[in-house]
Amino acid sequence: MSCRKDPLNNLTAEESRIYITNYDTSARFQNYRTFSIIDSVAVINNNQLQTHDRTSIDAQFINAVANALTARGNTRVSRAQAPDLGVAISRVSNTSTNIVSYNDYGGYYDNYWDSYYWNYGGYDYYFPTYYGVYQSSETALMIDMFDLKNASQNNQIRSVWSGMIRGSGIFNSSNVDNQVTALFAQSPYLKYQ
Amino acid sequence: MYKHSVIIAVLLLTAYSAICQQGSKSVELNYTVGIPTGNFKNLTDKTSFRGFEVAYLFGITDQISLGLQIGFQDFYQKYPRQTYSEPGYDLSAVITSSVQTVPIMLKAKYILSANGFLQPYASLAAGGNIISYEKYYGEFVDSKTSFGFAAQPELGIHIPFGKGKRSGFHVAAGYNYMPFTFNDANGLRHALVKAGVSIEVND
Repeated sequence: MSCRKDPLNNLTAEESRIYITNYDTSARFQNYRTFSIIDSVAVINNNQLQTHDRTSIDAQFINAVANALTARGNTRVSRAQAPDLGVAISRVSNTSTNIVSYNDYGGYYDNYWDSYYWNYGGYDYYFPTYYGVYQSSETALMIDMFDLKNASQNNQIRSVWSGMIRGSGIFNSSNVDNQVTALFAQSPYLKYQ
Repeated sequence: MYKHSVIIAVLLLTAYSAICQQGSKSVELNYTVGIPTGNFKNLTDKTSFRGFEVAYLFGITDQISLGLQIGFQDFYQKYPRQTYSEPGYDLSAVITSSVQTVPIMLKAKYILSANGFLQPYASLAAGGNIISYEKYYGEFVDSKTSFGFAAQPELGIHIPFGKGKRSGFHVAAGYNYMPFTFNDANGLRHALVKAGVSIEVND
């Protein structure tokens, strides 16, 4: 529709981002004293693990999450030291293939190259229907925390917290710390007492 | 002096004829301002200054005209970043509500006073409504387009001008009743203030 205000044109990169956190309401976060965090990021595309990676941005995210937990009273240990919490980070991408029809493509030609240019004044352009194939991809950042303290009691490694960041500019170095801060800011229960 | 004033006033009043004569056709062009009311304010409470209407009316009698009216109104509001919480779940987002309405209605108009410089009128329009609803969480949208019902009562004042005083300006206030239910949307009712022209288009 015309004459409407376009919401997407009125968003900054920061405003485009959303921060989603899910947590186990029965988890006692104040009881998790130690944590271990992975040293590389899982790269997942269309639900398939592609590789583990550690780019400079990945390292930044790992450090930012570790620092946020440490600031909340948790102690970072190696995974060999029986941590209470295991922390993993993933880059999750979904790629889809789409088809678009360029039915109106030819309509613009008259405005730029009228038929007189080709010495065929008065002739109309004709375009058959064109189809284009394009891929669109979106990548989100996921942070997951697992209860290792009670894993043997539960017979499972239970996820107790996950944070997701979606939107534009996620993997800009200058945005990493603020994004991790935002996830933890909406999770005040995430601290060791 | 007093007698001259009365004579002049009578001449002015009788110089203006009705905005619709039996058999006449007219086109109305309006600029409209929409003010959300009721549950619509849960989506946006910002007044919309992006709206218009076009109507084509046929005079049935000197006071009654019938026709078709099509309108458009765009409502938009962006909220600052907030955290929305449920047990076990928190979402931080900049939420934007964007709603467009395109009512297509049959309209009946009744001129209360067919003489005089100011001609009050009442109208009632009813018909269908094309609704586009979008709620953005950051750059991610939850949207629905649907076709519903719309009704619009209206009261206005017409000020004739031109040859035979068959055209004129008008200002009016109305109310759009537009049911719509989707997610957190429960009705799109809004008050309407409009100003425009009515132009006779007889052959």
